[in-house]
Amino acid sequence: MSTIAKEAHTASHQSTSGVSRHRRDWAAFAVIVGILWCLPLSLGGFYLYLGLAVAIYAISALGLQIMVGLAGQLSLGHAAFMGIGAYTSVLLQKNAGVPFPAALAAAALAAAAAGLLMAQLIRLSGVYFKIATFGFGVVVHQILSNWTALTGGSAGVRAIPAIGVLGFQIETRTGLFVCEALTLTLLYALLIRLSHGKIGRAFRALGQNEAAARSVGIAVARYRMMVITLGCAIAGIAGAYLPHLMRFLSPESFTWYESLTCLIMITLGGLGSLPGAIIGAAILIVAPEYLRDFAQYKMFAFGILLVASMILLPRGIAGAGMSLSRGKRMHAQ
Amino acid sequence: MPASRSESVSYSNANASQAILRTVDLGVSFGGHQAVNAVSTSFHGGALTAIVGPNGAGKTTYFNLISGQIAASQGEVWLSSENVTALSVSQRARKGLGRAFQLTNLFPRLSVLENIRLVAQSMQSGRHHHGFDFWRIWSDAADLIEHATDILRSVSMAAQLGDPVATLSHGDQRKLEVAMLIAMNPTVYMFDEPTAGMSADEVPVVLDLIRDLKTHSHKTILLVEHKMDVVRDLADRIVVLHNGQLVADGEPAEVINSDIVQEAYLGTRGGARRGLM
Repeated sequence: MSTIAKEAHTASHQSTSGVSRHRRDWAAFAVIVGILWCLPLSLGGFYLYLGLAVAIYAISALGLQIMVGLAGQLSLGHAAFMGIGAYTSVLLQKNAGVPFPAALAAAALAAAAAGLLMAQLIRLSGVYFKIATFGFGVVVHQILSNWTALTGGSAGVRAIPAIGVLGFQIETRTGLFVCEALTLTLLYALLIRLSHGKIGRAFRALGQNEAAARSVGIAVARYRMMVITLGCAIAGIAGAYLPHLMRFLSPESFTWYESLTCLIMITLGGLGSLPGAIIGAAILIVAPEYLRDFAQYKMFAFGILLVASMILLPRGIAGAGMSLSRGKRMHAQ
Repeated sequence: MPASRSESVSYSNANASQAILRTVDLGVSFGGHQAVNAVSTSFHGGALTAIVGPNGAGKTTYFNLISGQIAASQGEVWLSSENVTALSVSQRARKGLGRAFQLTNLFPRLSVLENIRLVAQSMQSGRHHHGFDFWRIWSDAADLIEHATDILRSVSMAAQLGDPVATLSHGDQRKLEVAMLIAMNPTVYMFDEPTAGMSADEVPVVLDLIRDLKTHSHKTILLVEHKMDVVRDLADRIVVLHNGQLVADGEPAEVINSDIVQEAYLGTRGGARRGLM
């Protein structure tokens, strides 16, 4: 198949009218949020733990999805911004007694500021930007590992305080899950609204044809800054929840491997698809828990999974599901 | 005889006060090569100006300098009474410089309607100017959809509004580009070889769209075109570039028949004019 034919084939699947895509996204939202809220809470125990981890990485993957899948700004340092959010939130709670909601907001702001700084400093496009984001991620990891006085270095931060909201201390996993699931639900809904608004269309234009976006009056530089800042802020929010799940905070949770894992999540789920980001996060969090005997092969398996999904499911699981349902509809007609 | 370079400059300057678009000593060099060399001229409303010249004459580079794709090494670009030389491509587009490209410049994975709507929305002013209509969802924007559909109707593409752009024929993609320019509602329309790569039966469709624009709007239209029959058919004025310099500027008939154009195109002075007719 020629490149043009492939593009047309992909487009014929991806592009439906805006209204039907909007409805489809809300339908997927209802299903995913329904499963998210029902399964971990009803099954409890280990499944609740899995639900907590899935929710955190789903939030992070949503942030990366709008950057990479929607706006085409491939970041290879996404975990660094989770790290900035995690340390900002925990240190504020632990050292300054800041309540969790304010610490969560500070985490988002700190990660957003770091994202903006990265975008401003780098000011590159294409492959140079991708390589620079990788470098930025490494630098942040080194700072977290070596600024011992503030971060505890590789020994990490222990005795993570419980989440306090409106005077209540949330010390159970169920309570933590409700907070996380609520955050994920709200963010997911906001991102659906965003992706179908003018900003979202500008992001998509930027991701598909930057020169064309510029020529029709879209302020490409501004939207690039905006999407990077937003994606990093969302990563910061995800990071703020991570220490409360792990009961421990270490720079090793924010390495290059974690960034790569986030990328595999959105690729496997379906680039450009918000539900795909959550599905990809769920698979990459749940599957290793059932394959603990092969833990040493985790990144090897993830690599194979990435290559296999690019070959067999280029539009990811969400895209394959969409094709299947479209095929069934056409067959029924 | 058409105006010579120096005459054309004085002609342009004489009319500069009413000009919609002006270039003043505009030029750019790449290394030692002067691709566009101090081109000064002005363009007025309600007229279609064809910019012609042999391959490598600097036509597309001149377009790129006007629309901002390339930064000028020298000179200025004025849109009405505003110097836009320092503005970015997107800023110039929002000021009213609408540009179509030699190669189709569309959003391939969006539908036809979404392409038009994206342009119409990016041109909105007021509180929506920077796109912070966060709560305005797709289905709420009925006016924009209606506007985009009207534009598609005007270019006979209403039946394809839900089609992904990458599945359209080359001719339809060029039509869509014209529709996107219409959606921008620019002060200046810039077409760079709009019929390039089109089949014989697709060419008249795009030319009719440009002709309609010329007839029904009082806009400034600039057209880079190699096909002289197209130029003769559409142009009110011809500007000739050769080796990056403006070498002729005037009425189509006299410019096409001028020795300087004959020489620039055919390398002969006075002979073989039929080739350009």
